[in-house]
Parts: sequence; C-alpha cells; structure tokens
Amino acid sequence: MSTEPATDNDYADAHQRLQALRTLLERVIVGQEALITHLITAVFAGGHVLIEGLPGLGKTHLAKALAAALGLQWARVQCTPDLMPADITGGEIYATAAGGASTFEFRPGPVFAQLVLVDEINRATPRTQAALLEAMQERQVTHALVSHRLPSPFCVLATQNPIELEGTYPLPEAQLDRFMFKLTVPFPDRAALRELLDVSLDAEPADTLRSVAGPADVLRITQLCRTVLLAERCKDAAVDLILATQPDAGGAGSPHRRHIRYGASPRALQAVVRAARVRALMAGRAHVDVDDLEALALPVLRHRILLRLESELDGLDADATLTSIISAWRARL
Amino acid sequence: MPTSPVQGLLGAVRRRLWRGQFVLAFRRALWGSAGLMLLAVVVHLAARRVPAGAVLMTIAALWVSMLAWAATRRPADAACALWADRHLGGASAFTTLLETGMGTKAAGNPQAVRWLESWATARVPDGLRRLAEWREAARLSRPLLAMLVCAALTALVLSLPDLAPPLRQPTAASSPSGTADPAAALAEPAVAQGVDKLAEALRSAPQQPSPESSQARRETGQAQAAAPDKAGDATLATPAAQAAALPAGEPATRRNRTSGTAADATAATATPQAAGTGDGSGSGTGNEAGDSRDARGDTGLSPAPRGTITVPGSKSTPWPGPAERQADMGRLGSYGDEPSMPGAAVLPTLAAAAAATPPAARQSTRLSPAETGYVQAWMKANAQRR
Repeated sequence: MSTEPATDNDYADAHQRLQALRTLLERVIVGQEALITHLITAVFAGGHVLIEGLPGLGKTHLAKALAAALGLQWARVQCTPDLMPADITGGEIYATAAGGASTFEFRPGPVFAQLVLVDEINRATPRTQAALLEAMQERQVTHALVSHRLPSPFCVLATQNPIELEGTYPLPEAQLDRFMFKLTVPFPDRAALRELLDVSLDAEPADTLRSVAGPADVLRITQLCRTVLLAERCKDAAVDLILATQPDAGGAGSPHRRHIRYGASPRALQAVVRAARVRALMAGRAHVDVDDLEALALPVLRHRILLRLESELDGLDADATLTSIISAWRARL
Repeated sequence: MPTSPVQGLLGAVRRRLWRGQFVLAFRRALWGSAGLMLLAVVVHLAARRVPAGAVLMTIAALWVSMLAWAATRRPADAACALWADRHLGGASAFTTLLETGMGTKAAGNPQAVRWLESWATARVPDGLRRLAEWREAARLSRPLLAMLVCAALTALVLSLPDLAPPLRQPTAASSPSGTADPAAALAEPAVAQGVDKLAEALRSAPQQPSPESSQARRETGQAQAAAPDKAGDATLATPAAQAAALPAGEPATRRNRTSGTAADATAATATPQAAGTGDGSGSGTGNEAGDSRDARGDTGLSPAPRGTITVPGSKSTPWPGPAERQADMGRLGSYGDEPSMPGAAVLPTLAAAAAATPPAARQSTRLSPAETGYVQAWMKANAQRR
C-alpha cells in the first residue's frame, strides 16, 4: 500500500481512472448507470454491496465485468440451504506429500478471492451466513486457531431475490449493517433493452474486457479517497442525516420519521462519508459536497432502518420513507 | 487563505448580500412607516390630535434605525462562502477552502488543498457570471404602495379639523371623578340622555293638572274654611267632599289622585286648626298640587316628607268604655239603623268614602297620559342603557 503523500497528479489520475472505469462498465452493462456508479463507489470505499433484483437483470454479469475491468481475482458462491461454512471459508484436507508424509493443510475457500459474488445469500443457512459475514467484517478467516488474512482489496457482492422467499433465511439486521450499500437493480427501459441486443446477444462482453486498473490502483485510489477534504458543514450535514432517521431524536425532522422503529447506526455515518469521498473524487473534486451525501443517502440507509409494523401494513417501504426524510433534511441545509 | 480570484468572488458576493440587507431594511422601513401612519390616523380620530411633526419624526427615527441595522450587518466570509456554494455552483468548495485557510484542515494533505484551490479558482468565472445573472426580486412594490396610500390617508386625516373634542366633552363633564373608564365613557351619553328624558317626563307630569281638579281643590279648601266647628272631622270629611266635588264622569284614578293631594292639603291645614285658630283662610293660601318642584328626578336626593299623611282608615272613633264593649244581643238586628253606638255618625261618611274609592285593580291598570309618558320615557332610557 502506498503511503507517499498524494500529488495533484494523483487526484487527476484517480479521477481519470474512475471515469474510465465507469465508462467501460456502462458500455457493457446497459441501462444501469446508477447501479454502476454506486458499485464503483463501494469498491473504492472498501465496502460490500448487497444487490437486490429479479433474476436475469445482469447481476452476475456486472460482477464479472467489474472484476475484469479492475483486474481482480473473483469467485462465485451459489448459496443453497445445504451450503456449509467451510464451503465458503475453506477447510483442512488430508494431503499426502511426495515423500509419504501426510499432513492436514488449509485449502482456502472462494471467500479468499478479491471480488466474491455470493448469489442468493438469503438461501444459505444462518450459520453459513455468519461465517461469510465474519469474513467480510474482519477480513480474515480463522480455522483451527489459525487466522488467514483475506486478500486486499476485498469486496463481496451479495445478491438476493425479492421473490420466491419460501425456504430462505432473511439476513438479520446486524448482518445487513455490514453491507455498505444495498442496491436495487431496476428493470431497463426500452432503449436500454434495444441496446442490450446489440451489445450482448452474440458475445459475452465481460469476458473480453480490458482492465483499466489493477488491484494496486484500487488500493492507491482507496487510500487517496481518505485525503479528500470534508468541511465542517458537510460533517454536520452527515450527522443530521443519520439523526433524521432516529425516531427518538429531537429537533425538527420529517414527519415520516415516526414510521421508523430503528434508525441507522453510527456505522452508516462512516459509510456515507467514505462513499461521499469516493464520489467526490469521481467527480474530480478533492472535497465533499452535500450533494454527495444526498446522492448516497438512500443506498446507505435503506437496509439500515426498520419500519414499524403499522407503517408496513399501510404500504410504506423504506425507500419512500427515506426519500421524504432525505428531502426534508436537504431542505434544511 | 483563499486565492485572489476566490477572494474577488467572495467580495462580490458580500456586496450583493449587503445590498440585500439594505433592501430588506428598506422594505421593513416602508412597512413600518405605513404602520406608523395608520396608527397616527387612528389616534388622531379616536383619542387626541396628533401633530404631523411628531409623525414625521417617528418615521425618520424608524428609517435611521433600519438603515443603521443594515449597515452594521456586514456579511461574514463564511456567510459569503456558504451563499456561493449554494447558489453559484460552489459544491461546498468555497466553504471548505475558507476552513482550510483558517487552519482547521490541510495540515496532513496540502495536495488536496491545492487541488481544491485550483478547482475553486476554475469555478470563479462561472460563479461571477451566475452572480451577474442572479436576479432576486426586491419586493418593494407592495410596501411602497402601502406607504404611499397610508401617507395620503394620513395627510388627509391630519389636515381635517379635530373631531374628537366635541365628542369627548360631554363624556368628560359627566364623569365627576375624571376616571378614564372607556366602557363608562361610552355608556354615559346614553345614560345622560335617558336621565334627561326621565326628568323631563317627571316635570311635565305634575305641571299638567286638569282644570277640574284644581277647581275641586279650591272648593275643598273653601268648604273646610266654612265649617270650622267640624275641624276635628276635617280629615275624614275632606276625601268625601273631594270625591263629591269631582264630576261624575271623572276617572277613578283622577279621583284617587285628587284625594291623595287633598289629604296632603288637609294635613297642612290641620295644624292651624289644632292650634285653635279656627280660621279657614289658611287653607286658601296653601300651595296647590303640582305647583311645587318635583324633585323625584334629582339624582341622589330624596324628597323630604312635607307633613303627616293621614289615612282615613286609621282614624277611628274613640274606643267605647268597658260596659259598652259588651255585645247587646237584643240590638243585634237593628245594628245598622240605629246610631246608638258611639261614633255611629261617622259610619255613613266612611261608607260614602269607601263607595267613592275605586277598586285597587282598576287603579293600577289605567294610567294617565303623564304617567304613560313617564313609563315610556323610562322604558326608552332603560333600553338605551342596555
């Protein structure tokens, strides 16, 4: 990891690389610009992403394209109810050496890739989910009292299907909090669908992508993002945003705050500021703006709040509630 | 510290914000002037005369204070930077740059500050262009129009003669204590008018005696003077004589009122008779009823009794002796015919007086024109008082 002080060229280079990466992915994944931007932001902010969308919208394709564009080693785990923790983290196997000596050696699982795609994570049992989420948080796997560091950069893209929920194990709130973003994959519009035929009907563009950056570049840009300036006004705004989701917090707020049973955690505050720095750098700035916080508030907060049962029965969801809260918060700035 | 182009932009923003403060002060002064003029008009019409010079002085003081308030509110750098960030596409760059200039940041990442400075400097021309195009309505038309209308109204009202004093003088005169009770001041003219009507009605009631009743009183006095030997029975004979002197068609109320005044006259004439003068000329010099001033309408004064009121029923014959109190059963059938009992001679007179007295129910239901006027005036005054 580079510890040298950043130069003006570093900011310019990071800005160019981020722009190039976004352009490349938008050319491959058609009609998902916002999803691509958020995904890049999460990767360079050092976070993990939970992607929710219907089957066939290109989630797996997006993960493959991102890994190829960044030159990252990637792995895929298809979660099922009989998936065991060792199937993800790896385990010891009995191996016989050439000289006849036999030993147990650790065989890393798919979680030891730099970019891990965990498909339908809610179909895995809570035990398996816990093993994966521990690896996400600690960035290491402990097996037989031995800790194994995960590679860096390390990013988990987990997907879940909003339908066919029979036989699934919804992620608990504490584990959802480990994901920096929860992104929803919208259905592409007509023009995007038309363009999709031209791009990926007869070829798999993700397999032929040329990387615009390597793992070292990812780490360098991640480090550079931490030097992006954050004004006191933006700090106050971020704090106000998190407090606006607290049902028991004082002060003026949106009336929709009463629909929330549990608000966002302090980890959400860190996540939104880190992501805002990446977004600022992606826009060519070395300082964070309130607009960055506003743009990232919804994907950061939507899986971190819990609505009241009465509000859910009234048809409210987290997005609608948060949209009104964010609008009220932005109007006060 | 912010670079020179950024300082120039912040200076331009400061001038614009300061000008906005003056516009705000101007607007407030206009509204305040209009309000002061309206207040002066109201005071002039309702309470007291307001000199135009005082109004002008107050308005001038308001304007001076407002302009001084605007002059002292010079926008700070932080406010200018925040405004530029919000309205000129600064994206928090100017605020962040100002903070880095104050030493709160940039200790660890001077490259970020340089990048920020270059970014902000690149935004200055666009910011200046946006600032030049920025148009914010001064919103001075309404307060200006309001002030002009109020000024015209004030000039018109203050040029009029003072209308309030004629309305206030009766109120001030009718209040003996001089207390400024607005409710009482409002009610006093109506009360005074009602009292005047009452007093007038009361005065007019005794001053309109009928010629027949005056003549009857005079004849009664002459009759009493012509019979000095019956002075002891004068008080009993007078009502009967008055009743007899009245014409047959006279209403019963008139008869009753006449007998009442005759009783007063009798009481006045009875004193010299009791003193042994025996001269009936005293009754001829007495005041007639209605000649004296009626003091019932005077506030706070009770009419003093002018004599002993003699009631015919209370005058009885001397009590018979113990022997005569015993009932004579033998004379029971001829009780009314034989004047054997003491005082029996008085009974025909009493019977005549009782026959001449109308029933009480009819007395209370029929009113004279004067009494009717009195009651109507009282009801009108009572209604006005409510």
